[in-house]
Amino acid sequence: MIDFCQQDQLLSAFLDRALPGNRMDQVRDHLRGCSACRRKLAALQQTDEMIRGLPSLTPSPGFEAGFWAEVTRLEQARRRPSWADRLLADWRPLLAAGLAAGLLAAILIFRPVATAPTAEEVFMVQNMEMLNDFDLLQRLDLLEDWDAVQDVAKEHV
Amino acid sequence: MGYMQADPDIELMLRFKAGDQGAFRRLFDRHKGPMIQFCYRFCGHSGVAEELAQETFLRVYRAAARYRPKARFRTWLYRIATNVCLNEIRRPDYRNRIETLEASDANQAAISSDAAASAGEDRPDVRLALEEQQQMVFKAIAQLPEDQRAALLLRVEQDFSYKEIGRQIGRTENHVKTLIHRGRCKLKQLLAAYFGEEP
Repeated sequence: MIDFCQQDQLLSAFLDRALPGNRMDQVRDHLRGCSACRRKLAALQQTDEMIRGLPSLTPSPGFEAGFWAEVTRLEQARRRPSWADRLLADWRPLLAAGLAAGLLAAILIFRPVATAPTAEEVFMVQNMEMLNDFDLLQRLDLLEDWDAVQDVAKEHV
Repeated sequence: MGYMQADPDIELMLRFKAGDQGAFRRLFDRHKGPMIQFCYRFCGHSGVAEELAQETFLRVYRAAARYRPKARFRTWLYRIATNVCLNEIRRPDYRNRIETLEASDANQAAISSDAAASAGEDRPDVRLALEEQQQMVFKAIAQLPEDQRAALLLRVEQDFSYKEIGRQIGRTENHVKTLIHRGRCKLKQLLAAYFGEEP
């Protein structure tokens, strides 16, 4: 059994029609026989009426115009390109020239350059010459006529 | 997903997302009045309320590309508004700002007078009493803890369910129920002296 007199919050919910159907009926029945709860309910109703009785506010003449002006500003801000877009647009020719210069510099820096042979490269080349000489020595048939070759050489000297 | 068929605002928001600017204008026209009222009750100053309402609609505008309907459009809209209002009242200089504006602002009196006149009160003493009462209510609302203030205004002013309020302020339904009840009790307590009641 609910002691409605101790449940003030139920009166608020009753005032707001926020109780389930059977509970609404129970509170209504209780109110019929309880003058203390009727007074409490009347006081709660009075606070609501005081709020509802506050003066109405007619919008000032500038309210609507001010609002739509704000909307227009908002739309303009949306359409306006961002600072990055504007920077790109204003400096586009310079940016293109800068990119071209950078590309040229990269080509110049990284192009292949003729340099003096290293000691290792010189040694390799000399070895290759020796290899050629060795090829000649392999012609052993020349050695068979070596004396004749020497004679011819003496005649020429 | 029943709310999608039942909520024409979702259709408008989706059309706006697809590029239909007119759909956003219809959403703005439909919700601007209640939105300004909500922000006005939240912060208590007409000029600041307009700024907050404007900021809310600008956030909706900016969020269109990411919009996916997961709840009623109003639930989403007032979730944004609540965040905007909470951010404002959490600013370190908020109190000073409001006090400075109130001191230099004759607008407040004009609004209250209009309200009294619209209530059919022509007698100066009655009008004065009504204005005083309204100022007291504004001050009492301003003294509520921020989550109680948000929950109570979303419930009483905008008629959202506890479930929807839970989504808007990131709390469970039961927590929302407690916040609203405590908010009402606190408001009653803050205004008790003015209405000659025991706190």
